[in-house]
Amino acid sequence: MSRFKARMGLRTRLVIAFLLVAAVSAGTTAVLTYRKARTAILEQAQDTAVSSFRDRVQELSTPLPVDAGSLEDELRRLARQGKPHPWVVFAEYGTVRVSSGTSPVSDVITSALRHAALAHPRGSFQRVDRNGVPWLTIAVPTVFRAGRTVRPTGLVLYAVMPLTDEAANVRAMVTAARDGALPALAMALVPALLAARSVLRPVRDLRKAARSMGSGRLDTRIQVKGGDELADLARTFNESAVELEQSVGELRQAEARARRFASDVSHELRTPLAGMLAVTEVLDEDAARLAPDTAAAVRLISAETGKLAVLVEDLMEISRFDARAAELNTDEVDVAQAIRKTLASRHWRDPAEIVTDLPDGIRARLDPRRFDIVVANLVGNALRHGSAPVVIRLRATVRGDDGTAPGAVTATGPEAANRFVVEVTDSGPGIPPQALPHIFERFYKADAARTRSQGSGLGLAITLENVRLHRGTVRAANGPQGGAVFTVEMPLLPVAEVTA
Amino acid sequence: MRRPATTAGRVAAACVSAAALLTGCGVSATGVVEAGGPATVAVSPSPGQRLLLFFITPEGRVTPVARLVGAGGDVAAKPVPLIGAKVLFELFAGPRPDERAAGLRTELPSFNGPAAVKGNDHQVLVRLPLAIRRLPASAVRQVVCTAAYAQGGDGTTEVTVRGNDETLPPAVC
Repeated sequence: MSRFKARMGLRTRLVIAFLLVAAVSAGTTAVLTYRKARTAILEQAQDTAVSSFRDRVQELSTPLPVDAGSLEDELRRLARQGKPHPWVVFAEYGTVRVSSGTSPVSDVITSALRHAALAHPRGSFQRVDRNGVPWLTIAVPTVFRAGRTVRPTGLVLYAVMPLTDEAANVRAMVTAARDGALPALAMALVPALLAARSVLRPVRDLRKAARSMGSGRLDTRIQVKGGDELADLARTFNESAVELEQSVGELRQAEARARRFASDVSHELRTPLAGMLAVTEVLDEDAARLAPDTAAAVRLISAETGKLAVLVEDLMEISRFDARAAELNTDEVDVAQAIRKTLASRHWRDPAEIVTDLPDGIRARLDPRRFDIVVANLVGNALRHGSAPVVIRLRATVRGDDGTAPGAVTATGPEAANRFVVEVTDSGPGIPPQALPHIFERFYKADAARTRSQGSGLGLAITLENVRLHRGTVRAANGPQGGAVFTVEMPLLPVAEVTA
Repeated sequence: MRRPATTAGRVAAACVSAAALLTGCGVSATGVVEAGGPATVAVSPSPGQRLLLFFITPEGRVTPVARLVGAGGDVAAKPVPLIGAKVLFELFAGPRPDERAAGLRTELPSFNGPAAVKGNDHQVLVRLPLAIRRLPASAVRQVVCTAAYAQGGDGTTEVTVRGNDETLPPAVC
């Protein structure tokens, strides 16, 4: 029932309720009127028939016992005076049966009526349904004045009259009631739809506003009309929207302040670090001539300063992403060549360490600098945390605009490919399962024991941001042989240019 | 689970009541309905010229027959006891052929011996030369009613029937 209700819209429910109310009221009115009118029609017919029959019978004069011959003449006379309809008159006295019709005995008169007429000297009638035809049967026992009392003569007169006209009238009333109720129902549809509209329009506005708010337009407000419950709801919605907008604004400001602070700090660190790097380079060169202890300290300082410089560079990069200041400077490149260039510039050439599967001819429009960072981060990460050999695979793939799963290129041909996939697989132990969901978070350490790593802790986060900038995806998983697999999937053309 | 059940119940109840209201379309049959009094008819011969005797109908009811008695004033001229005895004689003689043809019968045995009717307009004593203990109630009623009209003529007379074996309590027709 509740599921059924949920499926029915508000409009349907309102219309059904209106129609139900209209149907019940129209039906009740029709039925009550009909019953009253039917009773009136029948009562009038019955009363007229009974009293006029009694009046006619009072004019009779009969010997006792009755004389069948003269009684039959009297009955014929009576039968001509039927009111409101012609009737057939029957007389019963002892074993004498006389009628104004063809048959001396009626099959419509019930034994109950006969019994009642004989038992009490009172007029009575009964409606009888014989083969679908309603009949009115009237029994009038006769009495005569004998001395100071009246005695039943033993003669009972019956009138039998079809009620076909009354039945037709009653049927006509049923038809009229039905014909009146149906237009009433149809008319009830109009206020039902109007009421549904007046309720549904604010609800629709509210839904639109809520959706627009959900998509980030926090300044959405609803026009409040009237003073009903829906207007109250709209007012409450507006108030909540104002509060939400304020708190979100405050949050955004706080976030922006924090980001600017990080960015400012990195910026401020850059200049002194540049100086320090220059000094440590000089110190490094002279380290051989220093005492061994001092030399070790100098080399340590030099290495840590280098790491600090990398960290500051990475922080600045990340804060550019956070400030949405990162831009794509796209160029059409051969992806395989771009990857080879990255490997060469990092001196990753040892075939024992690096295995490549880079088919030529996959051309994509991408930002070469950012793609270089992505590949370098993934390969460097694999070399640092996994173990050699690191396998780099490139392939083109198809993915529908509707987001269906990537299909094999061979299925539709390479010219149909609209994305490429770079897979970096190492031969190490893989990533612990509990670390997988967090692997792209900033400063996340997969191995808690190894607090100090050679990386800044921002490498994978920067990789993710760069791939996202290309409207691609990057996933981390463990391969069937146990090594970590990083999969980058990027469109051959960034979306902006596809749609342009 | 409760709420939908009651809603469904309410809908069902509404349907049932609507159906109940709608049934009984058309003209339905009825039982026997009383409507007013009987019809008063004139019975011939006229009251002064008739003799009311009470016989039994096929349904077992006591019903009157009206017989013509001689010329006008005949009944009033004769002494009352004689009239009463004559009336009883007529009653015990049973229905005539035309009355039998109409289904009337008597439950009284044939008359053998002198009967007597004594009294005034209000009280009458009927003496019957037969045992009345075994007479059926309708037969006694035949006698009571006939005597009530024979003596006073207005039918309100209290009638005491005395037979060979016992005397019945006074009765009114």
